[in-house]
Amino acid sequence: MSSSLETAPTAIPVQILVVDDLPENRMALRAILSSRDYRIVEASSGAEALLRLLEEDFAVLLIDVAMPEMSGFELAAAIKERERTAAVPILFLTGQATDVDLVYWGYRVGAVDYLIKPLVPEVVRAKVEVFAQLFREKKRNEQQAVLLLEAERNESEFRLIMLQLASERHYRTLAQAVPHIVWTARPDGAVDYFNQRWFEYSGRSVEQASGSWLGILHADDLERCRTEWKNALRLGEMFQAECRLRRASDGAFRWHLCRAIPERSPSGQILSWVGTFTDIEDQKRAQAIQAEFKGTLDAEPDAVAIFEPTDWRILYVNHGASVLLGYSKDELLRMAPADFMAEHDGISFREVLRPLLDGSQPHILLETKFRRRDPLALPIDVSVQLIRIGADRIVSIARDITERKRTQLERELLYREAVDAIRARDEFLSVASHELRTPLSALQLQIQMLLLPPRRSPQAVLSREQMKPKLEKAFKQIERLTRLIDELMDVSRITAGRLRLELGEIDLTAVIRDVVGRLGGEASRVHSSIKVSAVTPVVGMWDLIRVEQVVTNLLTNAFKFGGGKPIEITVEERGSIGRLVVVDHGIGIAPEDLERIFRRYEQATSSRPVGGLGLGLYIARQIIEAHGGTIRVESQPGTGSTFTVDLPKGATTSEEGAACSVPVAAGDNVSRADDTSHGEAHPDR
Amino acid sequence: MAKLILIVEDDLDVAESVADVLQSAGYCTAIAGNGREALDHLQKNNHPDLILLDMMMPVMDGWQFRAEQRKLPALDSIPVVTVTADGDARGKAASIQAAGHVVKPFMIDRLLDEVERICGVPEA
Repeated sequence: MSSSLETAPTAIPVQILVVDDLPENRMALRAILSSRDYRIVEASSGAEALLRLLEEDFAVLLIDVAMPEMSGFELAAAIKERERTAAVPILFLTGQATDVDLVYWGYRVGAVDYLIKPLVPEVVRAKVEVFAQLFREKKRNEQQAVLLLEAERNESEFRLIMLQLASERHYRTLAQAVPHIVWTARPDGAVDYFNQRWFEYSGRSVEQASGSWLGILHADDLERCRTEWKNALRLGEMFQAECRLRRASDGAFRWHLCRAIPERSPSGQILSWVGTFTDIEDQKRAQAIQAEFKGTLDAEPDAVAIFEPTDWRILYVNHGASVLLGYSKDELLRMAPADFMAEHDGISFREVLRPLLDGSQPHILLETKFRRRDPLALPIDVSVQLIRIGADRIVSIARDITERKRTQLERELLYREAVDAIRARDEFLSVASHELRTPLSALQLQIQMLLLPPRRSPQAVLSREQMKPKLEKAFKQIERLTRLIDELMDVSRITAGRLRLELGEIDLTAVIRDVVGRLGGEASRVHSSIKVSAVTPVVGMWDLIRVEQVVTNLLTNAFKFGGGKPIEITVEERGSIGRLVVVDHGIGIAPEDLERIFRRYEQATSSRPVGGLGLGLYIARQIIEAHGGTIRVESQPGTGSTFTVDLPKGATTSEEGAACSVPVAAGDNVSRADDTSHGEAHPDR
Repeated sequence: MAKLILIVEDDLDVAESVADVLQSAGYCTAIAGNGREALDHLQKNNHPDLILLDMMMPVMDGWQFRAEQRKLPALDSIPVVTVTADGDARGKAASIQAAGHVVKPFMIDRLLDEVERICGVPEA
């Protein structure tokens, strides 16, 4: 679009500056130069001339050399110094005709020519016209340069526009080619372009789209996306959101990822937005399935892990695994199985699982130990399988069996306890049976002898004197039986926690004397003498019958094991305690039996009973402890034994008739004990 | 000379009652409280014609006594009648090669029959 502009020479104004201090000189020059299209500017001094020079461009300067204050030469020098005015032609006006020095000096200063006074008008005009012409040329060139520049600018602008158009076309072709939905929008967010894909997907026309893609969003996603898009527009930041778009063909909503970025000018201003919608429905569905799968696995309490078969790299662990081992999921993914196998190192571990990898076994079950982080070793049941889905994977499911093992152990213990208890009870029953039969045997014989005549004299009839001893013996056996049965009942009651005490004010000393008197016959039979040291009454709140029972038991034992040697009994008071001591000098008790004798079903000397059920001391201890007291024994085998009983005098049980509770042993078959207390008449207990 | 029967029984009342019965029938009796006492007695006294052996005794029971008795040829020949209270009397008697057995509680007839069978009537 270039055009050359031809202008007539006369169209360009030519300015001429006349500098002379004398107005008549200036007038004269003006007259000389008036006929042409010159514009004459006058200055009466160098200073004024400089001012004028600032205001406009002059074709030539006519300067009088001789001026007061600033001479023409000085002015010329000043003019030359200024860059803006340095090139302006200067014509000196001088009256000095042919002073050569002056001429040279003038040239040196920068004058172009001289005009000698008196001035010849034609000469002046001719010389000025030269410079005027030059000036006009210069001006014309300047104009043309400006025009040229403009034309060039137009040309490049045009080219840019063409480029832009071309690239847009290219761009649009691209936009059509990609499978995504592509759109562009103006800086305010209004969409000005959708690619073909959009129309295919949304089924909307250009008008219907009405500058926004929000129209086909799922209702639940609309608010969120609108807000975020607005924000992005405002802040000029990349926009990204997942949302559901409605497909026209079937009305289905499919998940899409929307991304838009601003296009900026070099200065940073947003020119437009470019956006895409990418279909991620399948991806989302796969993600959902995977999340569900992982959720299911995470809900699984057992530890699930998936390994790479070649190098045993851990590919996946569920929440259960993390909990079991005490490491986070991330940590586990960086570990090797050998790190938490307590019983295997890397090598033996591979050995154990080799059948899995070489295919000889599809499934391996293993009981082993895992080492937790803490670093507790856990017993574990683990099942390991090789699975082929595309790639080979090893899947292991491990269960903490600490509880199971503990329960197992407990059960074993309980079982053993039960077996022991049953055995003890069975032994006891057989002993009891034997013991009960013994007095029955004697009783049976005595009664038979009373009923049957002797073989040798079938006619004989027993006299009263002959019958009496037999009857007495019979009666004695009945007593023995009764005592044995009472012992059994006591044990049963104690075991069931139903031993009841009937407390009353008792004098221990009196009780001792009573019992000793009653057992005197038996004492003499075993040839033991009894010495009783019991001077003062020792009174306390005790159960009379039960205390008698204890004393009787201790004394009977003393007879049985006393070896016929003397027996010493002491009763004394020790503060708030009544103390009874029974000393014998018989066979004594071995140290390992000192505790055993107080237990149920045990006898110290041998496993066979020595007349009685072996329960006497057990019952005695229960009775004494029910009173809040203690019983203990000191003994030396071969030297004898000393039994010491301490009974607190005050009632240590909160109520009268307190129950003595004894824990029931496992396996003890406690029959319902009849709670008939010792109100039954025992004529000689 | 009346036949002598050694009663080996730990319960004195039972032993005395048995002695009563045997004496009424005409036998002589001796009592030992357990196997050890019985062996002691046999060493020091005339040998009896029969030993009534209670099996369940402390210190040395019937089985242990029998084992000792059979070691000594002089004693081995004395016939033994076992006295048991609980089950399988025949089996237990056979296990120690006893000549006979009785059970507790005793029936006098049965007791006397067994004694007579093995060592004969009281008078030689």
